Amino acid sequence: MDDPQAAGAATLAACGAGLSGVTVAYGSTVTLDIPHLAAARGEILALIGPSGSGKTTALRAVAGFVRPSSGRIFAAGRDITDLPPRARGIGMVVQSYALFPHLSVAENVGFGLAVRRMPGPERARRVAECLAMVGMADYAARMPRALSGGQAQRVAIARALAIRPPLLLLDEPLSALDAQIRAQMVDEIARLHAALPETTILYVTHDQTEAMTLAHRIAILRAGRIVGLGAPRALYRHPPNRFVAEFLGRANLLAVTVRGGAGGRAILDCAGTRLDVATPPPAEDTPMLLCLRPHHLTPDPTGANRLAGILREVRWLGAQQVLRVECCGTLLTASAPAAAALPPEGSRLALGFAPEDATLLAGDA
Amino acid sequence: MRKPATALLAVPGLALAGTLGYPLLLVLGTARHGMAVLGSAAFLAALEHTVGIALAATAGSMALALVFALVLAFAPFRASRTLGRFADTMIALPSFLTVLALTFAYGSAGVVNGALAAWFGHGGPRLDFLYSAWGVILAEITIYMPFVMRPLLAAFEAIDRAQIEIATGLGGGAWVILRRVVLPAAVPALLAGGSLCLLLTLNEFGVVLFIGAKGVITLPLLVYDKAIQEFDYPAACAMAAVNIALALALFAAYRALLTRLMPDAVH
Repeated sequence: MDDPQAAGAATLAACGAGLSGVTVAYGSTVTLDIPHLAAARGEILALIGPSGSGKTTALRAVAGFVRPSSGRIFAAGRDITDLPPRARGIGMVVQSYALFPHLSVAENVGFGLAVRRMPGPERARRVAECLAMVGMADYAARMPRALSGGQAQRVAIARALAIRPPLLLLDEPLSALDAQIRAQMVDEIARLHAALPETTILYVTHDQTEAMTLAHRIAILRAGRIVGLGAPRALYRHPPNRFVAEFLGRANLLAVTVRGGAGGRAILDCAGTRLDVATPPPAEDTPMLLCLRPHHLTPDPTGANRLAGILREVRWLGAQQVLRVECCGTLLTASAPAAAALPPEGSRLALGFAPEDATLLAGDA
Repeated sequence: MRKPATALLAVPGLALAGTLGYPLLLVLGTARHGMAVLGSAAFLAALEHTVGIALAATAGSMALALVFALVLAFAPFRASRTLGRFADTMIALPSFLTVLALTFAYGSAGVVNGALAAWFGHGGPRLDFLYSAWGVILAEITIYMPFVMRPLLAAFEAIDRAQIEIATGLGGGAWVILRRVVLPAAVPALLAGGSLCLLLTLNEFGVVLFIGAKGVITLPLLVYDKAIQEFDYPAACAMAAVNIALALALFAAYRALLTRLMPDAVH
């Protein structure tokens, strides 16, 4: 008999970061339960989920600030479960920046190096190099209070990178910044990772745009468990369940019943309308949910799938128009190009979608 | 908008002038006739005692408060909150009660000396530090330590715990984190508490009187002796003026120090 736990541990020994059978419980409340999660070396793995979903707890368990009730934790191929945080050699960046307010920018970045007793000249070189990497070379002598939020977070990233950690933990790193700076910093982090391709990154965020832009894979947590794991595109196009569909991007969910189908095509019924979806058909008469992304729904369709409805609301957002259309008793959100001519609100409007763009989800999830 | 504010200030201003300013002026005015006492050996000895005891008690309070506050804030144990509250109630206790407690414990007829006498007989060793300057210092540390500990606890609680975690994650041990992260954040609180403690111990009267240590005459005590027992008001006023000047000078020095150390913390 193969021991799946042992096999899992073998792959974890080669990973950038991993959790195996990890549970975290406070008294009888289990706040985290992850049977297996591993990030490959150099991978950016985003942990996303609503607040209280356990994503930060998972990160803190890897950092060593939360002791798991059971399971093993790995970083850079080592089992670090029993190591104290200071011996783990992991870089960490948090939402509040947590710069040491009484140390200059250079001293902040050099903190981990000073602790390691790196000789002065070498330390100064490394600090300068790290500050240059985040574009903060001119700020070495500043005190943290003289920095803007974006600058402070760059310094915090440089401080984490200075010890050249194989694993970097980012806990909501951009959540305290305003939208414009946040977008810049996402590009910055992507660029940094391209310069340090060996560094594994665990990225906790509640912002799905950050996760979808940066991560190679996304793990979606809910109530301490992973309910979706995969590449952003795959998770978005084919969410495994209703929670993932609604959490990752906007989703229209229609109650449908399976009527038949064959060979990778399912025929569905939605309040009397026949729909055709490119998916292996489940058993006949099963109640399911049909997940449709707003930008996959187009007005005045010519294809097979046509949902008759009434246009309730139009919002012009510059690059596009967002439509609210009542179909089969459900208010659907669709989008149309900014220049598209639309009938007045209250008129009849049909929406259509391509069979490949829809995902069937179990009705009860 | 400025005028009504000035008018509003006039009322408490006048009240303050009547209750505090005028009597103070009287003291300073009377002091002119008693300046001779400032050259006396008794005055100089009292001045030395006052400053010495105040400095020692303040240093002791700051050191002890720092240790207690660090333990209460960073060593997580169940009773830490309760212990903090207990220290707070120390502030509310009348100072003579603390002195009385110390007398019961270490006084000539106290528990410790009773035990020593029982073990070694009446010719044996005795503990009689309480009726010396050390006794006064111990009593003042016991009474004023919470005044330093309270702002220190507040300062420690205001430190972002993420700073300490990140310092730990970067490999920092307890000593490095204490020296480079925790203590710098506590400097303003330590100075504020320490200066309050210094002012209070400089002017302390009840504790010194209650212990009744032989030969430990401080300025407030000497002022009391001159005024109430010898009816020598000019001399008493002269010494009181010195006490006031001392306190004000210390306060000014403290502000100057704070401005240099923490330009942001001074308003």
